Amino acid sequence: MKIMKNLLLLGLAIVLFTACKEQGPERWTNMSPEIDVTKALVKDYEDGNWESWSSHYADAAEVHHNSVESITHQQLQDGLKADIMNYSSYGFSHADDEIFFEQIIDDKGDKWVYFWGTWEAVMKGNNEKYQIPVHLALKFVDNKIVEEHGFYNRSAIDAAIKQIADMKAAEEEDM
Amino acid sequence: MKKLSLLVLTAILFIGCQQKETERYTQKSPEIDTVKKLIANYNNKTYDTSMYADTSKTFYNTKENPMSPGETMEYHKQNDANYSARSFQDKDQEYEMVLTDDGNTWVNCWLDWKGTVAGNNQEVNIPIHLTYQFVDGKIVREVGHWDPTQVLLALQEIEKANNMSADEKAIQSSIDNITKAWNSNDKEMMASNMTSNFIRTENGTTIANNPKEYAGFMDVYHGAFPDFTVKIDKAVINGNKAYLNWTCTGKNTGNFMENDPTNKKIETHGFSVWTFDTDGKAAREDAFYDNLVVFNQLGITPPKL
Repeated sequence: MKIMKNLLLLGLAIVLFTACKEQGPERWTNMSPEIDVTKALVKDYEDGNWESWSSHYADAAEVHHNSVESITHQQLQDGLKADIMNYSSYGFSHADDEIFFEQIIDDKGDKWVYFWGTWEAVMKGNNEKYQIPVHLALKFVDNKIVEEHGFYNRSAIDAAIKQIADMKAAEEEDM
Repeated sequence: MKKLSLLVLTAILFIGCQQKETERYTQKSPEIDTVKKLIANYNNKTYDTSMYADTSKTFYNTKENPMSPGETMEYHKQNDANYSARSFQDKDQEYEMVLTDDGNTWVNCWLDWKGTVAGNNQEVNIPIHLTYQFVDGKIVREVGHWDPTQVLLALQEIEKANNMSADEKAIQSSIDNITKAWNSNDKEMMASNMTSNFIRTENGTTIANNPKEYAGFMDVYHGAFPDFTVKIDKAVINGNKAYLNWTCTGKNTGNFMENDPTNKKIETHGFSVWTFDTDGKAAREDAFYDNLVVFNQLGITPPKL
């Protein structure tokens, strides 16, 4: 009987310890299936592999890029496709100190992957190189993105795109 | 005795594990409180650098040329001149603290910022991500990501308005008066900003050949919608023409084109090209909009026309 009780206690100790070992690293990690999805998402964007890119999102995913208003991931894709037409090359710097992926589980139990990176591109119209720090926060359910928030400063590239378009229009008027 | 030691071991392991968990991720900590204080200080325009280490570096939307704490406060003060009001919003604020594998402590936050541009009263909403690295309770690194494009465009528009030629200023002044006249149903003010042979077309059809006929047209709307309001969403002046995107709102409490009042509210958008003479008086309005939208909002189908 005594042995039984001791065994039970030992069992409890092992269960708690194992549970805690499993639970501990989950609140913050830099390795997880969701981080792998985020890395694939970045690669699909860089390779222009849009079908695969779409597959990382849940159908009803809510996307916010620099806006309190949301768009669908299809609208984001349309925007990205139109945007990359402006560049002769684009993508993220993959140097170790330029790209970071983390995953947390918040107090509500929601799983978020955070991305910090440096986006780099060469503009076709003026051959200039642009660098923009980018942050993305992606909420995952069942390994699919259900919510995305992007934060980055587009003002320099938007001004350059407008200037190039204005110059083209002026040239066409002169012809 | 053995049992007790096992129990103690279990308790120690469990508590130890709980502590480890809060260390890797938490939504409550003194460091989070420090960042909240910093945000409150920004809202109150209290530019205190005491929560930063002296050597702290601030990177806003850049990887290079970091600012010192003093320079960061100076940056905020300079930007304040652009706004009549600005602050981080209380709603949808998220704060958390993580301990990374490198042993670094970071407080991450996601906030909505709202400002009113001083020069044109334009309201701007910007989501902002800020992240702070802490050592010994002090901020040693601050990184911010957001898109200020809306503010920069508004400031450019204001600068353009300040640099307007005398002719453009005269046209802008007429647009302001026409908008005022519409909103107060002031037909005299309207006529004084028009040429005597003023023409208005609606989707290509002429509906007024002089200011008097235009006044009748104003009465149709003000009779049906006594609170009728026109807002100019965007105005672009080019030569002797102004291109206006507008929004009209109002509550239908009077007869509208032989239809009984519905007590329903309308909101409709349209576009007008106004042409001005050399004195800045309006000579023509070519308006484009979908009246069916208004009838649908009022629930009138098919409309009596």
